[in-house]
Amino acid sequence: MSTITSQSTGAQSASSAWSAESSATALTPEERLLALVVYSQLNQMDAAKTTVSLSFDELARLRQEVKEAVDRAREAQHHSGLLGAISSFLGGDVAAVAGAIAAVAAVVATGGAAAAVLAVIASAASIAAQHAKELGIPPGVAVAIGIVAAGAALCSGNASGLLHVSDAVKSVACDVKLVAGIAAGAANCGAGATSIGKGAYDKDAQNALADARFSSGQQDVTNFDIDDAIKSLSASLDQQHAVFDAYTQGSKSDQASCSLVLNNFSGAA
Amino acid sequence: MTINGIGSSGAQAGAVDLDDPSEGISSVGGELAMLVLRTQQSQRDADHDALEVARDDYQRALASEVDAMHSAANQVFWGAVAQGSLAIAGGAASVYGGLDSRSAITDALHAHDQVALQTALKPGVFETSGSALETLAAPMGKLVSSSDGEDSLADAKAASGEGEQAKWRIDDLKNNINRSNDISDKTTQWLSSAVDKDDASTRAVLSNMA
Repeated sequence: MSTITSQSTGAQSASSAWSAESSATALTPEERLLALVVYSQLNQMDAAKTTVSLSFDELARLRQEVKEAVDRAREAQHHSGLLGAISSFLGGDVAAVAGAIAAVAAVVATGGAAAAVLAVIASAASIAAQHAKELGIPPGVAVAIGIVAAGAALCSGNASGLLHVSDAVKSVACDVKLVAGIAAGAANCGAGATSIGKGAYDKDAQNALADARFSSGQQDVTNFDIDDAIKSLSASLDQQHAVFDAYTQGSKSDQASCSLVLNNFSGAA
Repeated sequence: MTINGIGSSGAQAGAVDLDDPSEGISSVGGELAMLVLRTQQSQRDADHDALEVARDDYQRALASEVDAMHSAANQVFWGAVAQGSLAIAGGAASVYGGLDSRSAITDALHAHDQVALQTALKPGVFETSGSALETLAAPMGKLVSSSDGEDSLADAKAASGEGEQAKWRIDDLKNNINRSNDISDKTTQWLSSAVDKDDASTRAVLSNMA
């Protein structure tokens, strides 16, 4: 960077030198051409240096944006996971167990009516289906369980009167069925609400990841710009050195030729 | 006189006028060298144009990828809204159905009517429809979200692939430009040595004349 700064200062001094010298007639055409080329190259280096500086600022800003977006995504995914767990608990465990309790209570209240028995079987099958993965039940076995359960329900027929319960028990069973049914419905409402919240956080996380991807891609583009600017800077330096070398060599060659010619003249004299 | 570094910077600085490569060059080798320089210059110009196109392609692919990711996020959200709404509607219907059947159950219990009790305990319209809505919630959510934005994510993946291809093209073109610069450098070095040799010959002739 110190080199770039000194070159920038050099550009200003060369600019003033060029302005001052261009009006003077003391310089040879080659020297004026040299000053013009150096001035032009220093200007180009100055522009490249500005581009590099701006690109580095842009790169820092984009890195910060990526970091912030990833942080936002992580936070949103954390909230989404929490709400997902709550939704799964309410919709899967609470609602299913409440439904099962309601079904069993209905069986007790009706004394074993077929419809109620079927409801219990359906509820049990539902729980088995929902937890098949956790229980390690293969899908084929889960389907077989469901078919057997349905068959058992068909064979059971109307078992009304199988259970003889008192009115008090019936009343309690009805209350239990009512409360369990309402609890299952409420749990499903809660699961739905948390599911929407989870979706909102999923959306935020996905959008934040998209923002991070955009900033990351823009970093690549900025890196291309920095590469180009550094190459331009390097090329300007090379060109400047080449021009100086050429001028030095040319001067030496001219001096040698003059000396040779003078020697020849003196020899001839 | 030494000619140096013209090839490496000629494309950016335009230091050499290659419109007429044979001007000032008398030897066949010099003309060929200038022809090589002009060819490399044309190649570099073409590569620079292609580089700009590749950069535009990369930017476009990046924008498409990000748009697709945003689209997937929206689909996931609306899928969750559909699933959650149906689950809420189903739950509410179940709750309403349960509350609605309370009076019928109470009446049946008071009347000691077993048939009426069985009828009252059967799921009503609201409870049945509520259960159906709850069952439908998850599939409907998947349907609305297009399987959690799978299509959009696939589009994003495809755009990402196009972006990677554009980056590879950019790398290849930069390598081509560097290679072309190297060739130009070698050619100018050869020209420089030829000019130096010419100068040396001139000096030798002058010395001999003395």
